[in-house]
Amino acid sequence: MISASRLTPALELKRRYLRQERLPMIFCPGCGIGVALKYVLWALEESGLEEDKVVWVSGIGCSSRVPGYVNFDSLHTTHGRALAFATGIKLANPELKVIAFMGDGDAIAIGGNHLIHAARRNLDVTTIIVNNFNYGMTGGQIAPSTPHLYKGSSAPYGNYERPFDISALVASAGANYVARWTILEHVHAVRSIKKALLKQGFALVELLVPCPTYFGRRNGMRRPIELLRWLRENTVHVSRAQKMSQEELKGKIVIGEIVDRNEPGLVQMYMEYVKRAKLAMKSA
Amino acid sequence: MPEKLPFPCGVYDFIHGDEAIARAAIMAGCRFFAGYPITPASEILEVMSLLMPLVDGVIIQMEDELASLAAAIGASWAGVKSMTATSSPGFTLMLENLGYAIMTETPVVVVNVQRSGPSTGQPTMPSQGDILQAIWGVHGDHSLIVLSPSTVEEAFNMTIRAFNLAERYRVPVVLLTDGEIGHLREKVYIPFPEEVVIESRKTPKSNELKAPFKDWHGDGIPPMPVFGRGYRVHVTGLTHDEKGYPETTNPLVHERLVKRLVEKIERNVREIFTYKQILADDAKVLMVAHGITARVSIEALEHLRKKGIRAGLLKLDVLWPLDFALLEQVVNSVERIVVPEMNLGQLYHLIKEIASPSVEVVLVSRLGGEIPTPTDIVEAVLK
Amino acid sequence: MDQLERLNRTAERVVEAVDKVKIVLDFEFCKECEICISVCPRGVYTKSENRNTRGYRYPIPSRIERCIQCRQCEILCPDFVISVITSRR
Repeated sequence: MISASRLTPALELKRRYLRQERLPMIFCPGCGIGVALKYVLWALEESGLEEDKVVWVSGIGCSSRVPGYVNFDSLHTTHGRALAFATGIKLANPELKVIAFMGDGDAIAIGGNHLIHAARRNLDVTTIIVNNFNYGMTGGQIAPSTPHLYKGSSAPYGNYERPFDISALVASAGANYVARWTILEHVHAVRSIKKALLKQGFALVELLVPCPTYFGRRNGMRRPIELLRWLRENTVHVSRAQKMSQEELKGKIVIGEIVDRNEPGLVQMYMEYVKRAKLAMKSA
Repeated sequence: MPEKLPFPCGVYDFIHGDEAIARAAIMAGCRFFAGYPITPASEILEVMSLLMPLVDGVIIQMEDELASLAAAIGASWAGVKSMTATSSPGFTLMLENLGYAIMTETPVVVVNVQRSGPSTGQPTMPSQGDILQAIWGVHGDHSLIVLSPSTVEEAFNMTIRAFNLAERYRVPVVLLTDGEIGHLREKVYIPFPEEVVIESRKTPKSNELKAPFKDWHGDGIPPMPVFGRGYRVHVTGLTHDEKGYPETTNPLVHERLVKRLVEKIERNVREIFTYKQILADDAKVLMVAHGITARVSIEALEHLRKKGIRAGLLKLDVLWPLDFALLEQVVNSVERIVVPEMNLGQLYHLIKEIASPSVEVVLVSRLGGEIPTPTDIVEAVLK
Repeated sequence: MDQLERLNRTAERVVEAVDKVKIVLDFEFCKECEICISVCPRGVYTKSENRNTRGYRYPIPSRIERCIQCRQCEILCPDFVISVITSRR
């Protein structure tokens, strides 16, 4: 049972899991990536998974820098390709517990194809997408997650595109588990991440976080607390959203557990392919 | 190797290049293959999909070529020997991840069954248009190993060598063949597993773990700390220090790293570069060729010698690293060099650069999937 | 003084206590984002007049007696600066 009072002190979490000689982390003041990391570490601790078997994989971007700060085996790969590398790692050694940790631009723009295929395959990987609604590391350009009409460095007159609903996309591609929370719903987020860690098949937790330096500042929300307020005001839980009209839901992001199923994961399905192959060989 | 392989060994078989490459990989210990359909390499994917599960290996068809190489790199870090195979357009797509494999010192074999380009070109026609791409396609300063077989049997043996070199030097090795050899059926000797020498990557000792990317042994090659054994290694494509941590602001760190990555290959050129010299000792005219055109050159050589022409052949098995010292000596000991290739001149430029002004270098170029005939080469020699 | 040494100065971390609760701050890691100050429902924190060696003014739990141990400051701090150690579970 996860509750606020029972979570390990953050300072202990830092000592236990972070590479001390690499601190402090490069993230901006008020950036939500550190909070997302904290939730994953709490969930990892709760999950009881064997630490030597945990492998973090990431692409390129601020969020993707996180694996360099944690004291686990990690592969910091090329932009958008974390899940393709993860596919190789997991299938080659199914005993490894693979955590893919990426940002929104990395995962859904350049990485979009790998994301939907990993979900389609139900690849047994826990994926954390930290969504701060823009490309932070390169200076705040808009991303396929930036809400319509919001500003970014590559859309100074307001984003003329519509964004993806990342969680819905991954859910419809066939993932076993998809949940989306802001960092304000910490108990739910940690609980979902723990569930995702222990789930077979593709499990995604999308975390909505502040980027005060770029997304916030460009859209009239300089201070982190203003962004947190914006997240609270513009998200609505799925149980309430179900009772709301299209009009009421305009501009709102639905949070909660989007999908939770138990279809066979890729490793299991591949093992069955091997069985079929050997059977065919025997009868040949 | 205790297990039984899913194809007959210790026999001569009649198979095409693609199949030979797949079988050789399995014999070399490859237990992970990721690929994407592309003419004329699709058969490697297909043969792997038949054979891999029978040796408890993994085979997956990824969503594109670059994901295929990415998966193979991931598998290598999970401790499994891995390979991917594609053709020229797919190879271009793989360049970024190829650079990643070089930077992270990941052993992996990349097969490029060349076809006529540029762009979609002639999918079913062979070419030798990717030589410079294979060596220099990756951005930035780097080095890797590129092998070039001339027969199906060489394709088999060089695939095994590719794995051994990849493991020894912790580098991607490109097996650069072409659509002709890929689809050509020939007699191949398939050895017994016991007849084949297999090399594997060095594993780190416990005192070496504090700096997993340090040149502990003085050979430029750090031992490889694969995932899942408690090494807690951080691997990144960013310029990194000896601990593996990103260090991008110090020019010395970058220079040291990049030079080590290049020198670990180029310092060992004598061990890596192999070639065959045929009738070259008293030659006045030398053909320099590789791959399918080297085969044709052998027949051209026979014709020329019958005519009394003092011709010779230098067949390159390895396109990179090149032993420039040796090549310079050989090239400058004759009056004329003839380079037959299926492109508008790639190996030709490398040879021209080391030839002294008194040596004439002539290109015999054939495009469009046309393989130069012995007559084409003989004519160029006699002109 | 190198980075690691500077951070190890957090042996001097701020520790405020009252009978049920102790708030520990690794103040060298603070980046003055002010989330903790804004998010605390009881106004426990004020900004220090001092700066850490990176130039940031870190928070001080100057009204610790008002703390209800909700731990929101600890939970939402992006830099693992704060721990609220309580006797209740």
